[in-house]
Amino acid sequence: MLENTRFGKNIELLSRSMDVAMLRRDVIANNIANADVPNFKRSEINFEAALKRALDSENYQPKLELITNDPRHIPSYKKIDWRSVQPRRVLDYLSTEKNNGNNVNPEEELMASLQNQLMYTLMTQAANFEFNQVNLVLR
Amino acid sequence: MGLFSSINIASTGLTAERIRQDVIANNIANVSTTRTPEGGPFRRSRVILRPKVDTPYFRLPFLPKQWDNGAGQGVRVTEIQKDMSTETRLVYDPTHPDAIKTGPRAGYVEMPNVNIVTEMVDLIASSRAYEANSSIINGSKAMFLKALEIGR
Amino acid sequence: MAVSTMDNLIQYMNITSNSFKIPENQNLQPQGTIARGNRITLETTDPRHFVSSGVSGIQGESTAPTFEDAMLEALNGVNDLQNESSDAIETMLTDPDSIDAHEVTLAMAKANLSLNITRTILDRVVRAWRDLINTR
Repeated sequence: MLENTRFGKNIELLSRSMDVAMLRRDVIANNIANADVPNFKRSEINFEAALKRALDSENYQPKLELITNDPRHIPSYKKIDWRSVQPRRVLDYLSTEKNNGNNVNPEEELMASLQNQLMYTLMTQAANFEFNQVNLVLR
Repeated sequence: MGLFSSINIASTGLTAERIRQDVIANNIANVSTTRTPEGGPFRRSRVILRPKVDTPYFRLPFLPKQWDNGAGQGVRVTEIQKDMSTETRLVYDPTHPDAIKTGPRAGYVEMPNVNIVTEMVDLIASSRAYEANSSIINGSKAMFLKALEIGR
Repeated sequence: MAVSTMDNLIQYMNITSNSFKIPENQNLQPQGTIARGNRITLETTDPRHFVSSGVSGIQGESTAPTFEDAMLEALNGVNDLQNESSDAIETMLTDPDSIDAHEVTLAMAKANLSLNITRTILDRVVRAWRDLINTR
């Protein structure tokens, strides 16, 4: 019942981002565990950039609007629904770290896991805040 | 600025110091290596570090905004270079299979130009730098968690 | 004679001024004033018109704020703060490198506090009104 409000959108965004944070934790743990395996390439999760693109496309006003009166016409700009954005796991095969073909940098992975953890804490705090605000006006 | 920019910068420092420690460990392990695949004795390596952002640092007192480097992005290792400038040590031992056969230095064995004392001092400096970077990360994490308590 | 030339002068000034047009039925003679020689009383129809005595001849409408205005303004402020905190949360999720942690938490705390205060004020006012109404 609160889906069309700012509150509903925030809660939905936060819950999806927390899912992505859990996925990221698994990927980073995998990278760290395979830090000594020869020819192992690390992977990472891409989600935030795609979400930003989708959210920005809602407010974007194209400078040149093409008139389309047939569904087969190509529009100059299409709104992307942020609900359809999925996290993607990509293999990083371009960087080099060690001579044995392994490209895991243990410090970087540890820092990434720390950042992930702090981000998760901040997200839970934001979710708490949202619910508190609504509870504040109820009695 | 960013949520985690100081953590990223400190992590580049940690990486650089770890690479330096690896290189020093390699130097110390090869302190008596007289034969290498490329010929000659082992030469000590050293690590060349550069800031991560390669734009030049201008000395103008009034810098336009676009040329300003900001706080920087950390450090990176550009090269692990063999130190060819220091002289190798010469030890007289005609019975050694790697001794020089002819010439004015006949009978001498060329030992690597690794000075253990220098390497140990570098190792101590590197581990102190590693601890300093790690304390930056702890400080940043504490600041972040304190910021979370603002609204609680 | 002087009056008619003054008439023409005023008409000329009105026509050449490009800030407003003259309605056809307006009497170009300034209302209730007489232009004598070099003294001209200027017509003032807006509180912003300059009068040489330094005091505007026409007062604006009474701008004393009512409780309704204050309350609506406060609610707009609360709404703005809530929107700001939502924007901060969205920026944190899509672009973590451009925002600081304290910005997000401060925005949340401000929104919380403002909503709390507004709700408390409204509750107290309603309670006071009810007390007044039910005074025996």
